[in-house]
Amino acid sequence: MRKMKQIKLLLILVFFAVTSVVLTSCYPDYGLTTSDYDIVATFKEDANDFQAYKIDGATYFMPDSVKRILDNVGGISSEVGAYDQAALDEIENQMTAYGYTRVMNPQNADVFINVGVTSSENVVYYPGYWYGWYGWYYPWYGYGGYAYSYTTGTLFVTMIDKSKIDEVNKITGAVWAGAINGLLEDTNANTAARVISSIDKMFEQSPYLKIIE
Amino acid sequence: MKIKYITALLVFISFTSFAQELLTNVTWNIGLPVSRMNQYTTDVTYQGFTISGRRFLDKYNSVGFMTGWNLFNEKSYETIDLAGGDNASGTLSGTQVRSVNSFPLLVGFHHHYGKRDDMRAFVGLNAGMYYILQRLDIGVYRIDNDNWHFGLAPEAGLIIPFDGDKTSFYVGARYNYAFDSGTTLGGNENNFYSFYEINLGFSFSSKWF
Repeated sequence: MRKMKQIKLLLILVFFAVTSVVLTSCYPDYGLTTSDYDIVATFKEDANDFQAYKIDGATYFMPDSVKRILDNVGGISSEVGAYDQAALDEIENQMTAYGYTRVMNPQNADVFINVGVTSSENVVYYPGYWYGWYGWYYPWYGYGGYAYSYTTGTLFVTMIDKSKIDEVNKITGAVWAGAINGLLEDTNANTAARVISSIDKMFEQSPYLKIIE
Repeated sequence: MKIKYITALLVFISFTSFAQELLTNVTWNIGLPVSRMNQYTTDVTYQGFTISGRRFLDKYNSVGFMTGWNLFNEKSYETIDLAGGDNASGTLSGTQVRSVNSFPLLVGFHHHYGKRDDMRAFVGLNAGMYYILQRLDIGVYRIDNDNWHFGLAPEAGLIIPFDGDKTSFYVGARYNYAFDSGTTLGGNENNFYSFYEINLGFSFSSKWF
């Protein structure tokens, strides 16, 4: 009888121990790397007929530079980023693969491709457990806590149909847009590779852009 | 919501009513999402527990309460279709961590078969409120959607005494259905949740006068 009670107690203790281990592993880390924080979004105007562009040869004009939007202060910077040319080259590769022809004169283009980037520094602060309590030493209040920051970057690609621009009614004529967002806390080589693969993903998510011959 | 307070009142009444035996159950849950919930998280979860108490009204019937927690979560690479409205649509891709937390607060009625101190089967119906927190982590962004849902949870199982003692093994199965409340993570209707559970644990009996 006593032995049975001991076995019972042991089983109960094992049960609670196993349950505790299982439950404390909630929200597993999943081992996310920097590239796991990249996201790619695309938007299209549903009524737009992308195949109609092949009538005039599906031409597009794209500037040789990327517009850099300044965080906080607004405005456009003329600064050239480390990955700008790689991004422009990859966009051109994808547009060519999708049947579009780049022209150097905007007057001859069916659509305009604008590329812009912005970056944002985010600061996260965790107040300490004793934050709201008076303590024994200077500064007497607001102890503990820690802060960290991370920088994210966003690249925008916008396709504007020249024939739909209406300056009077403030209509931009945008028929497609893509955006990629990710952490900039990475090596230069990795960031460049991530930008290129994200641009590829942007076009992969937009099969309707492809001109069908 | 008023129904939360009604549920709490019923829990209080169930424990002040005259009864002969109090049964306390603690179980570890294995959960399986179904229906609409299965479209968000597909994986079986081993992260859940239930604590329940039953007060016997007579030899066979009991009233009681239950509470607990189930966590469904998984990593997903599925591309999400976005409905932008106003003649626009889009897609969103990225590594996602999807999770659903379910916290039930239910009162229940159970019928037990067989004799006390013997292996007893039971069937029962629980009703009350579920607090459900649905979370999507994508990129550096987190989107939460939480609501209180009215819900039902029918269940059946076995209570197997441990060598004639007041401790028993508890084996059960339960179906949880949390009715539509609020909107989905994407702002749509039909925000209901349903999942099955297998409950494994212990049952502790004590007399109460």
